[in-house]
Amino acid sequence: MEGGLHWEPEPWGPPGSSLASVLKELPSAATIRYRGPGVLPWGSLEEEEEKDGGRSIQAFAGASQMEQETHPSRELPWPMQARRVHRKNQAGQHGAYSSQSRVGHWARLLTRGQEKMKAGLRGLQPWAWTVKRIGGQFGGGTKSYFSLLRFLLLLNVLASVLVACMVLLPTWLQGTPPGPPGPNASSSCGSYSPHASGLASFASQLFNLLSGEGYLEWSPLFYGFYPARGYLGVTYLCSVFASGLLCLLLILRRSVSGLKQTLLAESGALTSYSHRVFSAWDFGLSGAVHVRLRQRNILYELQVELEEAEVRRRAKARTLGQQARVWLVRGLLNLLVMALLGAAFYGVYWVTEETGRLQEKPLVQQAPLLQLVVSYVPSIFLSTVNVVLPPVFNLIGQLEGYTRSHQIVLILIRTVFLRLASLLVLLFSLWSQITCGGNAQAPECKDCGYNYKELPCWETRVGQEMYKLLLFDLLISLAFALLFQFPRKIFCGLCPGPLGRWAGTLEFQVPDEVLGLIYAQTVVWVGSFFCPLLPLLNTAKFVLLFYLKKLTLFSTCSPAARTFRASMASFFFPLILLLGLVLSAVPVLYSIFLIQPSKLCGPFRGKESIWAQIPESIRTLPRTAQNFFFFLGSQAFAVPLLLISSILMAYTVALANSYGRLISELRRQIETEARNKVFLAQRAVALGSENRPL
Amino acid sequence: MGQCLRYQMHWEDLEEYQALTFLTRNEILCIHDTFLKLCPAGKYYKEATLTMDQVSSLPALRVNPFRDRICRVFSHNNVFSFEDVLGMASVFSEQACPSLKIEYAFRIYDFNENGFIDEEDLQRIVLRLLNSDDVSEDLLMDLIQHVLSESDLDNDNMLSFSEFEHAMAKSPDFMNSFRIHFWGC
Repeated sequence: MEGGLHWEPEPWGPPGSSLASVLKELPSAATIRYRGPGVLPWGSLEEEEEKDGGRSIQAFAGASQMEQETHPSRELPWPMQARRVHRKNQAGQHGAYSSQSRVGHWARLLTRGQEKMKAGLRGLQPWAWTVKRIGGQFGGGTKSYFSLLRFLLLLNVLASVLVACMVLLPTWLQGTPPGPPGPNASSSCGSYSPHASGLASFASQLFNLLSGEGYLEWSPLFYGFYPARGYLGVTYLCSVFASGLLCLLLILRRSVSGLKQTLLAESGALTSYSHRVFSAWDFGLSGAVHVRLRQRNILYELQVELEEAEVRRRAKARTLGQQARVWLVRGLLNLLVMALLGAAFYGVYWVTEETGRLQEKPLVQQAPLLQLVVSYVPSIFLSTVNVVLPPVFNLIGQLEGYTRSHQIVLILIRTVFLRLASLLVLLFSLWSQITCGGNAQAPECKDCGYNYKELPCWETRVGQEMYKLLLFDLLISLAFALLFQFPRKIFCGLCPGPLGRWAGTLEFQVPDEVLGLIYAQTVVWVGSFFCPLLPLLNTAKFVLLFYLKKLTLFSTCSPAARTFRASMASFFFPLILLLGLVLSAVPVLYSIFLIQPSKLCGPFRGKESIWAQIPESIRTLPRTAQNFFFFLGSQAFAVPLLLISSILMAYTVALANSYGRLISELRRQIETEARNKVFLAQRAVALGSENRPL
Repeated sequence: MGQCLRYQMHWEDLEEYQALTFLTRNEILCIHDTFLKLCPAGKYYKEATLTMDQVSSLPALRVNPFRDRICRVFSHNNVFSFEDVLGMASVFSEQACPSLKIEYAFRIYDFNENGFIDEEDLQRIVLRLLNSDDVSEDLLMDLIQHVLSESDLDNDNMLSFSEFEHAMAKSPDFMNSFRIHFWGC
């Protein structure tokens, strides 16, 4: 800096003024900022001012005035008096500015109106302030859990509304539905009598509530209640498809917006620390609470950025030997994970088989309490596995050396298969019970297509299983919070030493909680065909869950020491939710197309398959509508549709590839631009010093 | 605290202020009202001055971590005249042009007023942003190193105005965050 420039500030002719303006632009030049006529230049010291103050002010006055003649007065960074003088000197040019400002004025009003509307819509979301406060106090990761919970609540509310309009309303519009078939009614497919005969004790009423049997079995809660009349069959099917499609669209929309944020945030070349430092503070913030929240947010974001930069730097600095070692460790850990998962799946299957055998023993049949406990054993085993394995995966994740955001995603992917596949194993065992292991010629299934002796109304039975899973999940969450988390915090907090300190640093385990949400929602998606009121129950459950988790969070957890990037969370969580949706579609579609509906209950009794309702209803429509719908279902429509979709997809992939290449090219250009600028400045200085002796 | 003499602003003065600042008519009148409420009794508003403490305690600036720097940059001789307050509101208004905002942002962030944002300034900015008790030394040093390696093009460990301008011109959020709407009316 000192080896720099002592230029003669006399105003030169045209070459001199261009050199002065270049020098003014040089990064290395001592940029003394001109504050206007009669005011001390910004950044100049007192002694300098006395020595050559007049000259330096003159030089900059010369250079600046040539630039600023073209600027309107209000754009000049000068005091008001100086601007007044400048405006008087510029008297002729005002007309143009006022007309420009009118158009600009309307444009600004429009953007401000749009911003206000967006802010208003965001404020309409329930618990907006709570979620914001959680984000500020506990970090972006915890906030993403609560916003996912709010999103699932929206999905369930919409599904309940659809069910109410398309299932409940048509049922009651055509008169009260008939009661359950008595024990005397029988047909070729056995008899079905859902109500227990005689008086029921209070204890057994309670068990009925928890397991969906007894008086609940023939109620709007389950499939079996709905009569086979009118258009109920069609609307029942359509409500399931409509709610599935709606959920798919909303999840995709949420995931795509998260993807956009992730791409921006993840790319190393575009993140800018100078932006984070200089434009992080919103000068319009008022209110001490908002200020505190904003400061915490900035701190969390900076921590995430710096941590990821550190991991990237360390990854680049590894030698070949270290790289190989890291990959070997990762491979071994993945094998370990797969072994654990395989053992868990087999364990679940074995327990379900054993339970089926146990339920047939006469000792169990006689005591309702024992019956209830035995029927819950598969659920208990599933929950135990889900409690034991995720901490193990957490530990494994920490050994792999990824950034925290990637760790969270890997833990999620591993544990989701555990949670969802356990559910699928349960469904598989149910299926083998209903369809006699897939053997249509087995003696129990030959007559009616399903095992009518054990399961006279198999859809209601599946609905009951899902209902039990939902209730059990809620009870487990309540019990875990009340009997484990609160006492742990209270008692360990009273203990001195390391135990007390450990209790003070308990954190909110985001991956586990998110998986709990995804599992609960998948259960509801599977069960909503067999138990139409399940989304409504789930809405109530999620509202309860929100307040429970919020209470637990604020009372027992401390802010996360290391948080992860919220944008990655908002991209991956909906994707895993989508996985749950797809997996839940499998049993539902299988039941609709391939299993014979029960002959004694439900709106599809007596039909070949549940789907058969649709062609039958289409045949009652006028001729042209019939032809149209049958055309839609034929191969002549499906094959061209598939071809066109494939072509569009290939085109989109090619387009995305070329954009990707363009982006890397531009990134490389940005990096060389900075070097160009420095090079040019150095050349300019060299040229300037060569000219001086002349 | 009494009020200034309640003179209506002359129409010509209003027009002139509209031409010389980026404020709309309503905003200027609003600031005029606020100024009248705060200034000492019995003086004409064009001659009255406010102390830096009075301006710092305006609701818009009360909780701002940079309020002392804002007051120092926009005041003349440690007091605020009405025109100084208008000038400050103009720079922070929505309609102000980017070059003006960047210029004043640079002055605000230059804590030691040597014409550059050096490491000491950056340290003070980050501590003000985050609230000193939460920040570890490592994070601070790391962050300052990153900022300098990104924006300091001539490797002198300081940001000159052109480097700062270059960095801020690329920032999408700068215009939105360097804004104050509401001046207390």
